[in-house]
Amino acid sequence: MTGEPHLIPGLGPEQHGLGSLLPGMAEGLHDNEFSLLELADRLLNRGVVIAGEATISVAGVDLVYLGLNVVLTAVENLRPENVPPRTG
Amino acid sequence: MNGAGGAELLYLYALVRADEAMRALEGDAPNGIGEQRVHAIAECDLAAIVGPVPAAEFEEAPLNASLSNIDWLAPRAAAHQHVNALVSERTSASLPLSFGTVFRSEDSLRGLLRARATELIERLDAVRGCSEWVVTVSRDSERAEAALAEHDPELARARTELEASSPGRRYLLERQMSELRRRALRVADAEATREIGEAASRTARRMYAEPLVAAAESGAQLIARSSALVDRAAESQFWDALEDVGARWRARGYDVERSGPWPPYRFGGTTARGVVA
Repeated sequence: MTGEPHLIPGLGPEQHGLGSLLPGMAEGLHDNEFSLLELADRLLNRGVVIAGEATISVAGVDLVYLGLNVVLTAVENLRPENVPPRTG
Repeated sequence: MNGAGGAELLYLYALVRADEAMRALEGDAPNGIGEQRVHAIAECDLAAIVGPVPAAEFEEAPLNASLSNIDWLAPRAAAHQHVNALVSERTSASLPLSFGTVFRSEDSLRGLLRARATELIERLDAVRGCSEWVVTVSRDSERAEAALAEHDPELARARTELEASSPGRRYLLERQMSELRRRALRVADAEATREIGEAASRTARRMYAEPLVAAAESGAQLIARSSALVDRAAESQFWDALEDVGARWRARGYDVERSGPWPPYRFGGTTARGVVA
C-alpha cells in the first residue's frame, strides 16, 4: 500500500466533534477508515502494556469504553433527524 | 517548540527493530499528538518511536480524567493511530503501544528497552509481516427471524398449528412459539460464530476472541468479535474467505464486518500462550 495516511472520518484537527464522526459510521466504513469507537477499542489497554515506574498506565479502561459505546450509540440513534436533505 | 513552554513527557508510540527505524521515519516523518514531530531512540537492536507531549495533560491524574472526554480523546487517539499506521506500513514489524504510555526521561525509556530487549524482539518476530483485523458478527433479529420462519421446520410446523388454533389455545401456542424462536436464534448464533470463525482461522496466523461489550438494545445484536493476525501477503485470501461465508450468513440475517488493517495492537500485546487458536 502507499504511504497515504489512514483516513479517520471526522478526526481531523479541525473537526473532531461527535456529529462529524457519524456519517462514516452510518455509511459503513471502508477499510482504513476507523470510527472513534474502533480506535478506542484498539488503543486503550491494548498493545504492549509496559509496567514500570517510568510509565503511566491508563486506568478504568473498560468503563471508558462502555461510556463511549453508550454515547456513540445514543448519538447514532438520533441520527435520522439529522440526515442532511437530499439535493434538489 | 512547545508554545506553552510547560514540562514535557516522552510519549512512546511504537517499537521497531533499530535497523528499520530509518525506514519508519523516512521522508515525511509523521507528526504525533499535538502535531509534534516524532523521532527514534535506538537501544539494544530496538528503536522506540517517540514524541513529546505536555505533562499537564499526560500525567496520570489529568490523563485518566480526560479519557472519557471525547473531544479530548478523539484527536489524540487519531494521532496515536496515525503514527502507528505509518510505522506499521513502512516496516516489516512494529509493536504499537497502548494509548497513554509516557516516560519522564529518555534514560528511563532506554533502561526499559535494555531490560526487556529479548522479550520485545521475540514479540516483534511474532507479528512480522502481519496486520491485525477485527471481525465482527452481528445479527439483525428481524431478518434472522424471518429466515428462520422460512427454513426452520419446527417453527414452520408451530406456525401452521398456531394459525389453525382456536383463540383459547392461541396464547399458549404463541408463547411456545416465541420460546422456540429464541432457542433457534441461539443455535443459529452459535453456528454463525463457529463457521465465520473457522473461515477466518483458515488464513489467519492467530485468532483472539474479543470480549463482547453489552451494547444498547437496538436493531443489530453483536454476536461475536475476534481479532485476527493476518499475513499481509494473505490479505486478499482472508477477505475472500470472509466474503464467502458472509454472503451465506447474510441470507440468514447475520452480517460480517471486518475492520483493518490495524497495527498489531492486540497481538503485539498478547503472548502466544494467551491466545485462543
